[in-house]
Amino acid sequence: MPRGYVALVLHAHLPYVRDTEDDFSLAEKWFHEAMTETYIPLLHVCRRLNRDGVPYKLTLSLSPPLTAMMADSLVQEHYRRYLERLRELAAREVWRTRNDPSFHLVARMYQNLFEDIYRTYLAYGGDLIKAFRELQDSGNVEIITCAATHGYLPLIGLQREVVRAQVEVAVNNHRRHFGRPPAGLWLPECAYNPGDDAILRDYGIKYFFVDAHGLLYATPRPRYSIFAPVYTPAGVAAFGRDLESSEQVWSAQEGYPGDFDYREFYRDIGYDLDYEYIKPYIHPSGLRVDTGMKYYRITGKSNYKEPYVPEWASFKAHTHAGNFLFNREHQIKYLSEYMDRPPIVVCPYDAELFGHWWFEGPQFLESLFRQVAGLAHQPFIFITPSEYLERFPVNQPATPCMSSWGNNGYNEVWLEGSNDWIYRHLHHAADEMIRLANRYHEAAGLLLRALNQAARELLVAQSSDWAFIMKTGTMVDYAVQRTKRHLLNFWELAQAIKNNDLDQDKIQALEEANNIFPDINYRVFASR
Amino acid sequence: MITLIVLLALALLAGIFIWYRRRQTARPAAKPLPVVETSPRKELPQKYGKDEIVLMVKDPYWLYAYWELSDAKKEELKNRFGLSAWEKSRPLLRIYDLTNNPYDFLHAPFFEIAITEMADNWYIHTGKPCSTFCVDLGRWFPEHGFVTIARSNIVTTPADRPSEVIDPLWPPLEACWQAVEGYGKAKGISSSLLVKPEE
Repeated sequence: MPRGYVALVLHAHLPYVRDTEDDFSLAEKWFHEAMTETYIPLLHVCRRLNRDGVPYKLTLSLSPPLTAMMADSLVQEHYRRYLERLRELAAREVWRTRNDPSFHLVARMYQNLFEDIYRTYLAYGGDLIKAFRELQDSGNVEIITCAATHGYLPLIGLQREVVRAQVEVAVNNHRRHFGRPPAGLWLPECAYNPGDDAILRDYGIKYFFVDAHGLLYATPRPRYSIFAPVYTPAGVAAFGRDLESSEQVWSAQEGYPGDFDYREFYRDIGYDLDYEYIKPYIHPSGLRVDTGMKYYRITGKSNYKEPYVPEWASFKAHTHAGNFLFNREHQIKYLSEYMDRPPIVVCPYDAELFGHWWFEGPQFLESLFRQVAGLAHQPFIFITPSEYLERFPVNQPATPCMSSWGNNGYNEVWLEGSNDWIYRHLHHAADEMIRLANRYHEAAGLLLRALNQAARELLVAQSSDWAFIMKTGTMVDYAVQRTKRHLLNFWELAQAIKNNDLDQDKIQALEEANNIFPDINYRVFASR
Repeated sequence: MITLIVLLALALLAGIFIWYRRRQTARPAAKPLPVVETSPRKELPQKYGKDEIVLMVKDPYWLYAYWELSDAKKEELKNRFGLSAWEKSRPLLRIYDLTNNPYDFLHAPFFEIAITEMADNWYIHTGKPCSTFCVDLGRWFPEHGFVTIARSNIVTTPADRPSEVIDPLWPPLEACWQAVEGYGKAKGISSSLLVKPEE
């Protein structure tokens, strides 16, 4: 038996930002950037590891809005165009920098990267779901789901029906895309509310994650603190986030991503280059935006920046992976001396950290898996929570405490002066949706479409992202307008349903504008 | 002839307009300003015609309540307590601590917060983790005392430290607990959007 286990968990999520009206939507650009910088590079890492027969295990949470966008033909088409512009820019950059060896090297690096990504994208016909399903079937990656629209369950879940709808829609969506039910569910923002576990159990979910204090403050006090899961009263396993490993990666000051050899995120040619030259690759309004081509390394704490040296950065990623390995080995060695079972260290991260914010993150992951596989001794092995539970089916019963991984560990990020106003509206709309679902048992035709669309509008309004953006203070108007728009659409539909005054054109327009979850059934909101 | 002049003048104006628009769009915007679709014509309702107060948990020490009262409810109070009932009384929140007296509102300790007439939400400091609360929205009458108008749902605040409860079958292992000492809890991690934060 190995000394201990490490579970690497990546949570990938973006709100539903498909835009039918604007070809250059800044919000949809989040999706384009995350595809280019995170999702496809991660896919490449896993495929290379598979090709080389490197043993590894990774748990990947793909949120339903993200998979819905990946599967949507309009979003696919927008992304293809984005990628083509990016390739064109990279080619021009290779030419422009031809007399400057250090920048030229970086431009060539980007060109190769984008060409690789483009090839992968075309190979899958733009449908990355297929690629992720392949990964899942290879047996090294466990894909799990998240709540339907990343709703912050402790705050929107005043009514049990809402939590149930968020879970049921997510599970159905997952099954449709990945051909099997999800074993685990990533609670949006790690936000756990005691009692929600019973709903997870009803949908066959075997495990979820909480932040460290969610487990440390559980009742009764857990024997192994965060180094073993507990079973909630409903019998679902709760795994706790490890503090030591998360600090090593996350911390802005001491964390790996701040290393001076790594790529500087805040120097993008979209801002730096001559306007006339860069114009075709920024926003058509002339708004300067990130292009994804960034030529500098962090260099130091001042604004002075030196050119990026890919080789140095790769070397650092490799060194940091070695350091991570070393620290986990010692952590596990220490714990296993005192524990009567092998410890599990759970390391969950936002997927977008790897590649988008931390450009070298995917290299770090690949190097980590390769280094562990190459060791003669076995300090620990990578595992998925499902496999862990198969090996250790007996776990302590305990109730984790209400918690999240947001600032200070509870609900304050999503419930404060900037965003508290939304809950009154979200709760009332949910009340109305539940009433409608209870009243109409078997709707058909236009009524069915109206009810399903009302459910979609409500679900999208419930995304935790809007409250989060309101709090962060960037693009606040966008978040406010999205919240209002979906709720107003909801009430318009609810009114039309009640007055038996359904307008086919209107419903169709709403369906086209917000087509998340094509096979949704409004009855997910019915009381049981 | 006149129509021709008018047409020419219009064409000239249109030309100037188009030139001006082009010039405008050609100007680079230095700072990224979010592009937002035009705001919807309608606004969300301020009230939903209900008499209710809803209680939510913010953290181990704070609760949040929002509420609304219908005009019908105000009328009802006037019928019960006289025409000047509203003017003579003051709005209050009464917060019951039901931790040790589940559902026993008569014996549960409580405290009150004087709120303003215009307020429709309030952050309530309880300072008590692992405790169960319910809030009455009411009014205080000089001659009748506190009158409840609406009662909230019941919520429980989360713990802020390890539990004192020990399962004898699973006694805590000192080494596992020592290993997590010195690490602070969540430091603002969140499922990050790709929104560019301020540098």
